[in-house]
Amino acid sequence: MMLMTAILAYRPFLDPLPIENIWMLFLIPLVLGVSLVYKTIRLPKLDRLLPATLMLSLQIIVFMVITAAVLWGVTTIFA
Amino acid sequence: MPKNEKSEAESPQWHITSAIAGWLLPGLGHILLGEKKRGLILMVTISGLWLSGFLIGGIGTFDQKSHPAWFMGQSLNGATIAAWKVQESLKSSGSGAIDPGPQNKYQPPYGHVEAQAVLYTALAGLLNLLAMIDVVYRDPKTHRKELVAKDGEGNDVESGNGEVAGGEA
Repeated sequence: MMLMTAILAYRPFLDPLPIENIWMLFLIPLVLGVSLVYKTIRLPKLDRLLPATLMLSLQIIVFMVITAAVLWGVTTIFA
Repeated sequence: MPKNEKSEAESPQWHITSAIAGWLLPGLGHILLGEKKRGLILMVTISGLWLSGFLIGGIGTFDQKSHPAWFMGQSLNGATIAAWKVQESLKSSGSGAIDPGPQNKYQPPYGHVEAQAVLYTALAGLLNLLAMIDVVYRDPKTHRKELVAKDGEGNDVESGNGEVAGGEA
């Protein structure tokens, strides 16, 4: 009911989206966008753009997950 | 190498006008240099990230006073200045302009939503800076010559925009 009220009252580009509970999912398209722009600039030829972008995205996500796990472990041990 | 070719290679052109065009509309600088495919991809991706951030956080994402450092990153995309001006005019349009309730002109984002919106728009700006720097130093003719020079067997090599390099060298 609360979500329904939030959606009905929502005005695009004036009000923030009600994504408080799923904000972490929005990091994936952000990583894809960053990888795509970086590879578009760096690659001399664009025929291998898609695989190179997906590989860089995967690397970023994997390292983000590893970093999060290490930080979680450190805070759990020393808390 | 002939003397005039050598002097051309030693004094590369700086594409300042194209970089300014790239600030106004991401990818436009590359398109002006003839790299249409690269420019279109940059235009769609950077503008898409910026618009997504705008949609996530609303017009309140471009509040210069609440996060001045992030705003510097956001303003590397020309459209941010227009959005900021609109936000300022809405904010000063009367009492209760940003207070909770149906009378407000817009609702400022908070918490994780604000963080995501600012991250999207600021990263779009920083990526646009990368694209602008690339435009300033990019020389499609030199790039094609380098590709041909690297091909030891003397075969034609395609350049970044899909054109055959050997034809021009």
